[in-house]
Amino acid sequence: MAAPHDRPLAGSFLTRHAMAITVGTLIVTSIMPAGWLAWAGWFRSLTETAVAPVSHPARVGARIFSPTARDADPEQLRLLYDELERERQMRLQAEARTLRVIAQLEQVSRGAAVNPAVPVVQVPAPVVGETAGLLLVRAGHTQGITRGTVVTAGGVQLLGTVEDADARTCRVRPITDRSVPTIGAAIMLAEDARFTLTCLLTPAGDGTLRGDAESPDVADPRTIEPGMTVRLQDDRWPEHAQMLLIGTIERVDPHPEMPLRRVITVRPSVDLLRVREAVFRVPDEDPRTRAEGSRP
Amino acid sequence: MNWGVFIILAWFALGLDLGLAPALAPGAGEVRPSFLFPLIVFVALRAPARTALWAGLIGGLMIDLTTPLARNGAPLATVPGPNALGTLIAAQLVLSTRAMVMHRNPLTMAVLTVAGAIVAGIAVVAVFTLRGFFGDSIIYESTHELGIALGCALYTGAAALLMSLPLFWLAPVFGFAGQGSHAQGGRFTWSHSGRG
Repeated sequence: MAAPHDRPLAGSFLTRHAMAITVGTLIVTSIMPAGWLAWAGWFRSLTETAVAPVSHPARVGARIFSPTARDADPEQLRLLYDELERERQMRLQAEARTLRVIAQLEQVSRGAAVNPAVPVVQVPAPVVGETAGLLLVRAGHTQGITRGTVVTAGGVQLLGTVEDADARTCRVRPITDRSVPTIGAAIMLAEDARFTLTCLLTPAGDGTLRGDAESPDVADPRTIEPGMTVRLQDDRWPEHAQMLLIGTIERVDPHPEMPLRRVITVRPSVDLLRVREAVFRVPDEDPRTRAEGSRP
Repeated sequence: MNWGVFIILAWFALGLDLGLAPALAPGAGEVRPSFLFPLIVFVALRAPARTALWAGLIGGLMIDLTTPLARNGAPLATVPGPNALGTLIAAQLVLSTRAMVMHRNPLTMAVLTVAGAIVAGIAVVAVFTLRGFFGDSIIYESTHELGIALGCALYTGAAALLMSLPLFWLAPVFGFAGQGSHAQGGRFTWSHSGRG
C-alpha cells in the first residue's frame, strides 16, 4: 500500500482542498444567472424522485392529524358532491359556450376564424410533497403533462397550472400562490350562466383570493353575498377550464374608494396546499393519454 | 461518523420536510418546521469539525435541490448553493459554540437550531438579494422571505426539541468519535455532566 506521501500530487491536492473547491463552486453557482442553471433541474428531479417514497406516506399520514374539511364527509357524500359539481360545471360551461357561439357566429358572418373546443382527458396523480409553495406531483411528460396544463382537485375545484414538468414528476402552482397573476372570474348570482358578475381576483397570500366586483344594477334585487359560488371565466385560460370552481365568497366588504364596488374574498372549497390527489386536464391529442386517463 | 446513517436519516428528514411539514404550517403555509436542519445541528454538535461542515454542506444542498424558484415568464429555476452555504455557516456557528454547551440537553439542540437556522436564513436571503442587484429573473421579496426565515427558525427549534430524544438515542449508531457505548450516547440530561 502506498504511503500518504507517495500519492499522486493531484489527488492529494483535491483531498486537502475539497472543501474549499466545493464552497467556491457553490458560491459561483449561487450567483450564476438562473438561465445558466438549467442543468440543476435534472438533479432536482432526481432528488425529488428519490425522496418521494418518504414524502408521499408522510403527506398521507399528515392528513390524519390535519384533515381538510371535505375529508370529514362520508366517502359516498363526497363522491355525490363531486358528481354534482361536475355536472354543474358542464351545464354552466354549455350555457357560457352557447352565449359565446352566438357571438362567434356573428364574427364568422364577418369572416373571423372560430377555434373549435379541444376535448380533454383527466389524469389523476398523487401529490407527494410540497416545496416553495409548489405541489410536487408524481406525473410528468409520460402522461402528456406539460408546462401550463390545467390542474384540478377532484376534477371540479380549480387547483392551478403546471409550472414545470419532467418525465415523471411535475410541480403545480396553486391559484392561491402569491406569484399567480390576476384571474378573471364570474360570480354566480344564480344557477345560470347569464346571471353572473365578472371580477378580477388576486391571491391574498393567506389561502384566499381577493378582488373588486361591481354591485349589480340597483334595480336588480340580487346582491353579492357570502356563500355565492365563483367560477373561472378568463380568456387567458383554455376553453375546457372555463367555469371550473374557484371557490365561494367568504366576505364582502365595501370598497374604500368606490361606493358602487365591493371587495370580495373568495376561499377555495378545499385547502389547495393539502390536496391528496391532483387531476390534470390534458388535451386529448395524444393516444397514450387517451388510454390512461378518463374523460370528464 | 457513519455517513450511511447520516444519509439515510437526511433522506428521511427531507421526505418529512416535503410531506409532513406543510401539514404543520399554520395560516398561509409559509412558516413551517424543518426536520433536516436539527439533524445537521445534531451532527455539528458531536462530529469532528470537518465532518460537521461536510454534513452541513450536503444537507443544505439537498434543501437547495428541493426548492424550485419561480421566475418572471420562464421555467422554474434551481439554484444550488444558497442553502448549502447557509447551513455551512450554521454548522460553523454550532462548532464554535459547542465547547460551551451541554451536548445531551434537548434545550441545547433547540437553542442552537434556532440560532443556526436564523444565521442560515439570513445567509440565504443575502445571496438572493445580491442576485437581485444583477437583475435576476427569480421572483424574490427579501423582506418577506426574511420574516418567513425567522418564523421557520423558531418553528424548527420546536421540532429540534422533539427530535432531540430520538437523535440522542440514535447517537451510538452514528459512530461519533469517543461515543462507543450506548449509555454514553443514548442518555440525555438537563444538567451539566462535565463530559460535554
